[in-house]
Amino acid sequence: MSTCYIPNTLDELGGALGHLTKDSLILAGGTDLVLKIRSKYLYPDILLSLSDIPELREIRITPEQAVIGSMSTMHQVELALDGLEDLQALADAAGGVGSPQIRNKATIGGNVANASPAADTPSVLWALNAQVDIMGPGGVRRSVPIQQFFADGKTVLSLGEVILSFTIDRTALTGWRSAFVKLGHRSQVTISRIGMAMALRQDASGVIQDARVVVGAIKPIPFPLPAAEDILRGNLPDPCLAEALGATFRGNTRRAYKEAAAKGVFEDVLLRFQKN
Amino acid sequence: MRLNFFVNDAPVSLEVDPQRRLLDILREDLELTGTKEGCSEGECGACTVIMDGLAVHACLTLAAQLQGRHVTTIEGLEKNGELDILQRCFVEEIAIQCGFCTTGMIMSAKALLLHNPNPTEEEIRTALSGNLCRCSGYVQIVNAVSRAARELGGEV
Repeated sequence: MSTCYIPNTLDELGGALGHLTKDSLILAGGTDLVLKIRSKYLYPDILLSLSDIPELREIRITPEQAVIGSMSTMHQVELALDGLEDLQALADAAGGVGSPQIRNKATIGGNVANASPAADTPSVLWALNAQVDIMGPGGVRRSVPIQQFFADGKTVLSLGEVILSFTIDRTALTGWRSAFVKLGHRSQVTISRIGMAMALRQDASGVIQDARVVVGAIKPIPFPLPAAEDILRGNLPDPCLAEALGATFRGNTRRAYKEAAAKGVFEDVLLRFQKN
Repeated sequence: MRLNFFVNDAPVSLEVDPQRRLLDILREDLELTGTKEGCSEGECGACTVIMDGLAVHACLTLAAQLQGRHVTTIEGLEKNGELDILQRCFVEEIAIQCGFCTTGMIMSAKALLLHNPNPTEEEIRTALSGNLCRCSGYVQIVNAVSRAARELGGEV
């Protein structure tokens, strides 16, 4: 039987992290890990469950920043951020993951740490310039920009490190609005074939002053699309730009249908900026 | 590990492998076989139970995540020998064919009505989007949930 650690505080967590070996597993929501344990017949020496640390489930939002605990479920993230214009993309992405049952358990920390190319929240966190707050053995903390968190289809987490939270500087997002749209095989309970996070800063007449486009589910890690950002700047977020924007996908994917589908995804995401 | 949690409001204390699934604890250790195992990977929703007020997959929940939690299964809905209104409405609307998805459907619907006593049809469909019925009885299922909400008159 595995040794099981279920810390109740961050101090206890710091202690438990020091015991982990390469054969240990860290359990967040379990919606991916349980499948992996069963399909690969994994039997960890230590199973560390993050379920019972209240601080990891906290979401604190002020006008200056948003701090989202890594064990916040997709459902909690959607509830907390829906309607906040700068952070709307994160609510969109969290609210579109899986089914209600999945959203009630899957966590934002697990979504990022699992580093699946098809994950929805990493591209949004990238577009919002989130910091990943990390704890290691003994409670040692560090922060890494999300853009530097993924490497070789994995993450920069070392043995015994976990994500504590994501911090988004909202002062840098003043005047920005964001949205996320994904393309899947159906509307619900579907894995992204394209995930698109867009953030725009518009002037009073709606003209785009600055733009960020980050795409997921195409390459091993999310990637920005500066060519699309250039097209957006100086224009209104009009869906008629979708044709030109879609063309910026060329060369970024080996799947021809994704090149064609990108136009539709741009159209959908631009429509999200129509409503005021 | 020693697991202490609640199933259908009754305290349960078990010595279990931390990697044991809630589904196996319910079906094999506690002999509550109303919760069904379908796909075993969180796609079909047959194993849906309510944990701390929210619908979750028993097949993706491990003992290590259950300490102190309150789990409600289909067996916990019947009170004093009377079916829950959702169970009765599923029978009366003929929202059951083979029945394998039914308990999961009812638990997802129950979780919906706990939080939203007056759901729209779209909200019902979203709440049931993680539950598959291969006999294709979605119309009757949605009708059953609507009717239960109507009969409850916004009270759960």
